[in-house]
Amino acid sequence: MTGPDYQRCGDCGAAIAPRRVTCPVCGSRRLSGQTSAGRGTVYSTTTVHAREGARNVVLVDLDEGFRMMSEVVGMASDDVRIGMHVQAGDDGERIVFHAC
Amino acid sequence: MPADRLRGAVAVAGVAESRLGEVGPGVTPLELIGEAAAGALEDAGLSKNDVDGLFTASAYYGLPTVNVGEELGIRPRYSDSTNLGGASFVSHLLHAAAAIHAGLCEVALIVYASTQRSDGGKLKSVVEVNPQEAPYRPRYPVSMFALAAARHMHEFGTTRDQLAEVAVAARAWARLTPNAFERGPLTIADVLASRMVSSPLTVRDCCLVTDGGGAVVVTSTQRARSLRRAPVVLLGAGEAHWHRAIAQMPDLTTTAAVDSGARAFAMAGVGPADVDVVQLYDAFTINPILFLEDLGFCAKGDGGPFVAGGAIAPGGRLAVNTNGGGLSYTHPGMLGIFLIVEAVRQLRGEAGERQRPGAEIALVHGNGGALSAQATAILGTLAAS
Repeated sequence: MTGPDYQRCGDCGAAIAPRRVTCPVCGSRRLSGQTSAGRGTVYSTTTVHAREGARNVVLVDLDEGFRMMSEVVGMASDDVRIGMHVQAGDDGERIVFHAC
Repeated sequence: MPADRLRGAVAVAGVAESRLGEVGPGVTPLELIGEAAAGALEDAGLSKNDVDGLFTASAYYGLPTVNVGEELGIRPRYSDSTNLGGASFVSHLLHAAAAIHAGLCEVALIVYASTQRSDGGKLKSVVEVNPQEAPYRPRYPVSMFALAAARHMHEFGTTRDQLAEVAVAARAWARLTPNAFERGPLTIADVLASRMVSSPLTVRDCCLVTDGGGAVVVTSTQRARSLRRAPVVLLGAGEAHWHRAIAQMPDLTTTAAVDSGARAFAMAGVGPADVDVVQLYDAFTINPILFLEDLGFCAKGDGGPFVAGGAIAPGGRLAVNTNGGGLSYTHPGMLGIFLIVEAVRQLRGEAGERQRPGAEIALVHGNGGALSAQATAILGTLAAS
């Protein structure tokens, strides 16, 4: 299973997402498109309580070195923990994560 | 030119608020801006024709200083609509000092208003949709601050009780403030038992939604000495931003207040121990905890214990948000201007029951976006300058 796209800076090695023209770390224009393996760790999590029910919003640190907002699916929102290892999947519309 | 040349160069000569709370349908933000501006100019003993520098930010108007200039009949030669969200107005203090010191204007009016509550209680905002965030439906902005709170709890053992302490302290101050929006008793248990919005933050961890406006008149300290009120001198100010979206924030437990605060303290030549009264943008209860750490009032990670036991409430070790802040006093979309107004009232000794006796130096800190933009100012009495 593959994960989200990101860029790697050809000069300083920074992992960059979302897509940019220049590296936000060193200013280089030598950025190459990459696809993450989709493995990561939950950096933080919140459960949003809405009329239609509770859902979680997480920030995931991908192993390649960038962070993205997403949702951990397949478990109760309040059971999602910081530090939990997760794997990216696709729910048909967006990249989501499952515990692994 | 070293920034410390701005130390003491300008002073706040007048402040005022418009009607606050709920003004009812049909009142526009420009009307509240008119009320606040007229009040601040009267306070200073100046007229709108004295104003040649205009500063505002807005979620309503695309060219906000232009709208305000037309409304008030002010034709500025210096116009600044810098939008750092809720940090805008503290930032405007710094920008006004630079403009006045450079001779680009002489009397600056910083003004803001919103009718957010009467507009239906939604956060009126020109914030763009972020395509990286939209698919996951965070509740903006509370979920972003909830993510920061959760991470702070994870790293440092900060507790929900400690978050609630911030709301309880704000309410205790508001109970000493006659025109505060929420003045009923509030306990830690009340905060924890209230409706969860975005965990770990309940509705009582979130700021109010009100109407209201505020205005601040700034001029050279030399000119301010000849005006009606005792000048409140700008000793130092700084601003900083590192990210816009919460996923781009390098460390959710450390804000750019580290930089804005260091810049303000360096310019002022004072440190946290010298500050008598502190006004921090408390959009959510995690904010004052983060800012007390980042501004150097306690070590990183110690903000929870620092606020515990009523330590920032009336009679505590540090007077924080002495009118009740955004959590209990007022919060019309952006708070920054009201932080300045309250600091000035404390330094003039006119804060009534909530007055911090002998206050000489105040720190004001504004926050904008998702813990994104930070602006800090240090104000003092003439004696402290």
